[in-house]
Amino acid sequence: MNRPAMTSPTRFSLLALALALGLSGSACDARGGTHTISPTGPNGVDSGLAPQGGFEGESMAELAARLEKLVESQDAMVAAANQDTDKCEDTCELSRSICDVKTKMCRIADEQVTNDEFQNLCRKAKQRCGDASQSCIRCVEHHERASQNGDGADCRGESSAPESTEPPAAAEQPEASASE
Amino acid sequence: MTRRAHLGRPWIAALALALGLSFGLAACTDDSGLGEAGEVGSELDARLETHVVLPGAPSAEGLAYVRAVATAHAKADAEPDLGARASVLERALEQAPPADDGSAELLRYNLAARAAQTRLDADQPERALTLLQPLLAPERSLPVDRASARGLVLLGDAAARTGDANLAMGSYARALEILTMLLEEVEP
Repeated sequence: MNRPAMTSPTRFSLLALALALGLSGSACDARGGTHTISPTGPNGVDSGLAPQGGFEGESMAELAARLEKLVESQDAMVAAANQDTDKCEDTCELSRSICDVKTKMCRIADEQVTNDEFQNLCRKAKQRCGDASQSCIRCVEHHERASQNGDGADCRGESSAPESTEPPAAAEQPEASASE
Repeated sequence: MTRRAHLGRPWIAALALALGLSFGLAACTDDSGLGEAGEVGSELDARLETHVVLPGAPSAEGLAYVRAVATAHAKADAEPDLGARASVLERALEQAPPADDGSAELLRYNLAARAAQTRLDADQPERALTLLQPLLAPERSLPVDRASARGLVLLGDAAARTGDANLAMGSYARALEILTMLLEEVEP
């Protein structure tokens, strides 16, 4: 009595699994492989996709005008990229100055280890230096990634960036902020 | 006699303690660097009041001030002697910038910073302190700019070199605040 009851659901399961595999296989076949997919809308109707923009011509004058347009857009892109670099330079310069001040503060605090106020100020300065260094690193990394991808970049920080309170060695240049 | 002796010993011990403390304090206040424990010249004051720099409308007064400051910098550039160079810059500092002209205000802070740096280079930290302290006093509102931050760092350097750890620490802490504000402005 128990055996047929046990077998029936198993058979159904196998059947359902086979059907599912079969369906997914055919779906894969439709999307992948060597088929050429034509841009069609629902029910195989043409979606109306067509090349955008007018015919730019092939004469010397037309091509020269096209080249000029492309050079202009490249110049604009380079200018935008340079602006972003300036932003990173600002961020990193300020970061260096903050870390210089941190070094000076902690030097004094180290000489007066029993002064709690000095110790607290040194800790705070270390935190600020770490945060500022991370800002600089994030900006440079973001700019580099954007340059590699060929799009514009800005210096906005990313929450996924690694967190560390230790500033990079480049951020530790004493006297930079106080130099003439 | 015995009683006298008993009364006399604590008195001598107290005198010795007082003398020891006096010598100890004298050693601590001796100007030999910041490493000495208890070395203070002022109270720690890290108060900071700031204002945003507003360029203001162009004016004849403003233009005259810009010219005067530029002339002072040029004269200082041509002066090989550090003391004389600092004097040129300090003379220019005597001229007040026009009111409500943020650009002129920043020129003045830059001028003061250069003058103070020159005094420090000439190994005259006290002169640098005299120059910067009134301009960067905690009661005064400072423009949020690199010029004021630089001035505070130099004030801290001068204070550290004269052995005033509290003034040095307070000035550095205030500079740190301004630099952090500037960083926040750059990084949205």
